[in-house]
Amino acid sequence: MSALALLDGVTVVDLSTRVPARLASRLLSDLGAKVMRPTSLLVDGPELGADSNSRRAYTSLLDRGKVELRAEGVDDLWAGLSGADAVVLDEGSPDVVALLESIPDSRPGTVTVTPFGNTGRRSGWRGGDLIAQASGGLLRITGDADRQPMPLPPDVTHGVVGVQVAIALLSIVRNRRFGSVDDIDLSVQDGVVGILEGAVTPAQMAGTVRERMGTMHPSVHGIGLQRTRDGQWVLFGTCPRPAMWDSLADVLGRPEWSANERWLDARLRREDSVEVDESAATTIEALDLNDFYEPMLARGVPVGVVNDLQKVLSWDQIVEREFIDVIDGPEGRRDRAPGVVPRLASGNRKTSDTTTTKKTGAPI
Amino acid sequence: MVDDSARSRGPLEGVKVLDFSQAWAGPLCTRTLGDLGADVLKVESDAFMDVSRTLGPFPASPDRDSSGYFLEWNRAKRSVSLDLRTDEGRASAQRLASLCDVVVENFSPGVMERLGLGYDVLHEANERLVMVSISGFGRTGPAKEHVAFGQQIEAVSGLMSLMTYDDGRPTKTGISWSDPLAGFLAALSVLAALEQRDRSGKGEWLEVSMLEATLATMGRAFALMNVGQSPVDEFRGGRHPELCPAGVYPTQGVDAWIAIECRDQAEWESLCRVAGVNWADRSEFSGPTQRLRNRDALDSLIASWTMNLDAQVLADELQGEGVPASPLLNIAELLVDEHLKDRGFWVSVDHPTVGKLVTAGTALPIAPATLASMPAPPILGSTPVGAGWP
Repeated sequence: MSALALLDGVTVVDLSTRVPARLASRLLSDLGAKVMRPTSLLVDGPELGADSNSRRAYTSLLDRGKVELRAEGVDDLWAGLSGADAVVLDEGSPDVVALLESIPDSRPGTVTVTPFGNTGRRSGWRGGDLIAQASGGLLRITGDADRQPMPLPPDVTHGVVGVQVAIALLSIVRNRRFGSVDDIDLSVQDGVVGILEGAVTPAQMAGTVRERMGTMHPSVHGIGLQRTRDGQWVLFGTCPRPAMWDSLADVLGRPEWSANERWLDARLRREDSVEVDESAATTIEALDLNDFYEPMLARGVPVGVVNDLQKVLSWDQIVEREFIDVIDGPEGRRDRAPGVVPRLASGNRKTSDTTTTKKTGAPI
Repeated sequence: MVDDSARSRGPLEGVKVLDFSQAWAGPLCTRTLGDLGADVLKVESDAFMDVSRTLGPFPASPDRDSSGYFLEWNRAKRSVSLDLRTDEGRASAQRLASLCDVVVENFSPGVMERLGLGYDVLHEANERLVMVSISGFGRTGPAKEHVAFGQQIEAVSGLMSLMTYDDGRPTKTGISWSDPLAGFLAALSVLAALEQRDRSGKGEWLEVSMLEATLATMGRAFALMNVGQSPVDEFRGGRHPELCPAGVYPTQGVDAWIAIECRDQAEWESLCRVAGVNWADRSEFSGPTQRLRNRDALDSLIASWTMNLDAQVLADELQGEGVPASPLLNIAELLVDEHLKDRGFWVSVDHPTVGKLVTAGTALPIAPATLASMPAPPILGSTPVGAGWP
């Protein structure tokens, strides 16, 4: 696994058992931090699944790059915590408050990640990724308008919270250098409500409450989600600029769409979306993907085919950027894993000083 | 440039950020940096303003300073007007970049270079500069020039393929999912690069691809693939591959739902107690394997139980017995939610034209000093060029 060395010298102890915190420390490991994890003291959260095969495959991705903190007893754990810059905990972590308070000088700060936070009337409530989606307002607006809400794939929502946990950990590391010890109470619900797009101010200013609208954008529209003759689902972008719409119409051989002044404007198309989509469906159903996809991309039309993961992994954009890592997985497998984000920007600069190569899998 | 005294405004107090970004991912990144105490100066112009200033909704007639979409992601910033098409504007931008710690941009790859604001130029004048570039597909590769909106990233990344109804029709998240992911990863990148700079004295240029950001949080799908299972099949219909019951069930009212997520046997048995039923004793639902095998039948039973109950009352009761549950809250309900109020989640600002405005909160702590004087989303060009960083 290629990792950046931006965080060389930063040490984080990971005492977490659930995805958001565990992913956060993995992200810091990707960036070069030394992440220590006393595996023998920790029990995987139940949402990681009962099937041991898939659970091990998953935890090996969550824990890759971390090093084992040998904690045969309290003294070992105390020593590990004493040397850390920050500690990440969650509701399944062992109670280490007394150990932290016994550390002389400046103890590491902590980020404690719980479903609803440690304060507030629902502080004791339980929840995994699905509850985060529901309580965070995301699930209510995800899915087709005339069907039941569609959950995001498991742990994707926890993923965006995990990035916020990682930011919190680096905030602690930075503040500690300036002499303060922070303990951050991070609520998963807060982390989801905070990303509701186009919801908060519209609700106040226009009284509009976002509800489910499938693949539609709230205010602008292209020709929606369509299916081609060869069975590919394609999501056409909103084409906010008239030139995009002109190109889309031209590639599809429908110049009359450009001549229709109502359809030239993405906001007006949104109002006419049923009619627009029905008209587009008859066109797209008669075409194979290859008839229009590359020409549209070449002309700057926002369009995306609905890929499955296997196709993504063989996509030349992914292959050329070498984004997928192959790592040592459980049972002697060579597993595929998403690579490191961010990466050094390309250019003329030498990157050897800030790039390192780690070959470690998850701690055993 | 950074004063090492105690940081009452947060960990990024004293850090100067020059923000060329627009729309959502970049502005969320820089808003996060501002929340953490950084001084963020947003570069726009009358000719090339943040596109979100045009998206509305507007409290009255359309006005570039009161677009709801813009207001959501641009608190904790100032705005300077620089026309980057002119020599004067570019020179001012270069001067500000020579004085700052961080540059964030999300133009298409190559635009900053064409403006004379590429990292090589800026770094030569300021070797401590950290720069983060956000793009749809990355700065290299055959798709680097493709137009990228968050919607399309969800399609091409494989995320939508994991959100299909039983009839095979895919759907997407209710937001432009890749934007906040990329925005937060960009903010994380800034913090990490500042750590390195504090050691080495030198800045770094990092890039965040929205496509790669989206894939980075799909670990469970990768894990299933690695053990020979199909994530598309395993997640179809919004199902969880390992947990049952774990789903969305109808409740009393219009479009009212509750999510219930039993993660182990104890939570399942507690659910049965609350429901007053003996489902846990039935052989087809007794253990996790049996429940997964008979998931559709169990989901029907649960739905028939929940459909006449109030979602909030039921969630309170279930959580009281240790069962993870929550109503599917909408934004109107969240804005008056007592728990979020308890936690001081919402961030109020006093906007010059809109007045008092509640903006989306954050999971990250905002220092009291920053919160007390939180800059409202800026009026375009309200900071004179010379006052940017004198």
